Amino acid sequence: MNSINLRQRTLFKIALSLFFLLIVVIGGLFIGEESMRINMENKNSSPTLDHLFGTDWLGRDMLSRTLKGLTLSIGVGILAALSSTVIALCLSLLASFNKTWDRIVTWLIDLFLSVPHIVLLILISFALGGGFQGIVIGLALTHWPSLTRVLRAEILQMKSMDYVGISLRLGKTRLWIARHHFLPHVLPQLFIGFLLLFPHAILHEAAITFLGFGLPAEQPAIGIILSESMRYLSAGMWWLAFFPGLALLIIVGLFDVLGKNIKLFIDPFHAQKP
Amino acid sequence: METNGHYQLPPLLEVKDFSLAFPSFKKGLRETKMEVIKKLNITIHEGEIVAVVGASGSGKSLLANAILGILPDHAITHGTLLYKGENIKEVLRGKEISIIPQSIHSLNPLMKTGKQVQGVIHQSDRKVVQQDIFERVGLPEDAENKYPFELSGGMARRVLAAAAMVSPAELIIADEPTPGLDPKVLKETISLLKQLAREGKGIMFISHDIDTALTIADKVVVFYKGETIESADAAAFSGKGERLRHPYSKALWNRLPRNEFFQREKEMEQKQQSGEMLEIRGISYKYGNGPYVFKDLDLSLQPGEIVGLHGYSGSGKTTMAKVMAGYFQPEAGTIRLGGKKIKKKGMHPVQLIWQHPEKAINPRWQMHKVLAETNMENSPLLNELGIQEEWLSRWPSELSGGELQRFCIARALHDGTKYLIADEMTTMLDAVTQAKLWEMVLRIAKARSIGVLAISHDHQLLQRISDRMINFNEINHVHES
Repeated sequence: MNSINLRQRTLFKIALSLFFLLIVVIGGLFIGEESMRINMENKNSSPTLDHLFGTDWLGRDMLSRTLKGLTLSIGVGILAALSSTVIALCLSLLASFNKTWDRIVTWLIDLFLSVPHIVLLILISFALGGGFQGIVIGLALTHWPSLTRVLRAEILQMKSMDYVGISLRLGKTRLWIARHHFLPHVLPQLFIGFLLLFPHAILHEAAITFLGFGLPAEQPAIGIILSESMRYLSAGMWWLAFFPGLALLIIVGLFDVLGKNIKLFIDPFHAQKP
Repeated sequence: METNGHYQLPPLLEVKDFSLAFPSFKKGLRETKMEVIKKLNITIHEGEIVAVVGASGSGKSLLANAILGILPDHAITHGTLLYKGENIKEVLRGKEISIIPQSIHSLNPLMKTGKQVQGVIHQSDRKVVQQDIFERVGLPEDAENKYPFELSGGMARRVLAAAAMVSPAELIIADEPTPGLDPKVLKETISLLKQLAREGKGIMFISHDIDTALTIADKVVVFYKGETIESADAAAFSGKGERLRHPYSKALWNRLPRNEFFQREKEMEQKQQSGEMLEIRGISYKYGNGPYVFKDLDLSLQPGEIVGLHGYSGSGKTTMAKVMAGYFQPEAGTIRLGGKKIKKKGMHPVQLIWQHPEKAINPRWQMHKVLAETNMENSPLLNELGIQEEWLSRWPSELSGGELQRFCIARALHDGTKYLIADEMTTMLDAVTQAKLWEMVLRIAKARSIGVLAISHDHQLLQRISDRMINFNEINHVHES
């Protein structure tokens, strides 16, 4: 047996990934405008000790821009994924209420899934005037259907369980059953759903920003950084895309580690398994 | 030990001081080991049937899994498992050791049964061998072209047994192959197993039901709290169990309904009691457009009365119980309590206790929450039912079937309960627990004037506990029209 057991290892991993995420967010929040100032004397510099990630075509420090962009992207991702998950949970609970509601919810799911994400996203975000608010609402309103479908199936299965029937016969209300039977059961699915939505949301945010319907170009979102640097890649300025892209990858990976370990930690039935 | 020529053959299977534990976290970050099997010793020779008997949750099925090498990854094992004198290897599974699983759901639902059995045969003339075995186990000729869902439960069990018989395996592990079978199918299954033993195969018969175990086994190994406490010949289970060494195996024998069971006290006797009568008049029920499960069924229960309802599996007893407890709406007829219809909302005055307690309790709830459903956490009833304080903080998976069933009973006996329906309440439990649970239920029912409808296929049990017996086929008029 190792000196540290599985539960301690799980906690350690959670703490480590949280720590890195916090560093990025705090770093991003405390970097002021001056470190991203335009400095034409030092433009297009490859990575040096002064500028670890190099500088861009306006001489702005890429490290600061990346951190700032990551913070913004994490913010957008978390907000959008969280509200999507909440929408999915509410709709799937609604679907469990009776047959009519189930039909309405399934119809809504089919409707939203039949239109490409990006089209709806552009429509909603454009109608709301774009910007941070527009893009978050747009993402939240387009990313719930697949998760809702999974949750609905889970809850329908739960509904036929003997213990749910017993609770009904003991005079419990539907709300009570939803809170005490369904919610604890779908919590792991909610977590996984949230995690899968997160990178999706960030990538869609980048895509729509690239098309000009999202965040304004002066904000250093990762999507904007990446799409701008595309033009300079052929000129051999690899660092412009490489470091921000790698950073985004690491952040998504960190979220994955965090989610997996939190699931291990809260689920009493898998806590023992390696 | 069996002798063969000049030298002694090692036994087919020998389990020596086997132990099995799982790591678990009791409080915070300290890791502890939960011992499931402590000290286990079993020897099986060729042509011998050894029954492993013990309470549900005592680790019997885990032993079978250990022999087959299909334990969960994080299990910690010690001790030796010898097959023909050598350490057990995984390659033996299927070739030398095979299993008759507990559930007929082990059959592939999308594959014809004949093909599934043929898959086990390692000879060239698969089809002939398979047809031959189907005939021997008494399956009709066309059964091989059917899918498992087209067969009855008893037939599907015979397919499972056939698969174990045609495999070249010399050791067969039968994991609870008999629960809930009606007497005819039970007899057939037993004769099948005996036939296998006559062919020189060793059989390990795992069961909680000592009655069945005794009809089939040469030797009975009693398993209690993770240890083998007794290994006796089947003949030792006779009289008052004087030839048994351990008090638990004595109790297991004596608590059978046909032996001592428990002593009915004075206050458990039938007496006139006041209260509301449960009257059922002419109820009928069918699933969807299917045939009627029961029709024009009449039944009435007096407060404080214990009524035994007898009938074989699949006759519709459970459906009737669910209709009575308000799970289903009857197609016709009325159910009245004290002359009034039962309200749909609120706690139902007729409560049902299910056969499988583990299905009736949410596995994600700690036990105190189960009791909180009916505000029974601090009820004096818990003491009477023998529920220990320490169990309240455990998860359902950490308790045995008998312990879980106590919680189900406690939950069902809330303040508003007038009638209790016990649907095969103790079928999955061992004899000692069965006797204990019925003793408690009877005492509480008489004290609180709760009428009890006990449904079971076990005639002897019903005779011991009930004031009045009903045969389900007599009150069910579905075949008359």
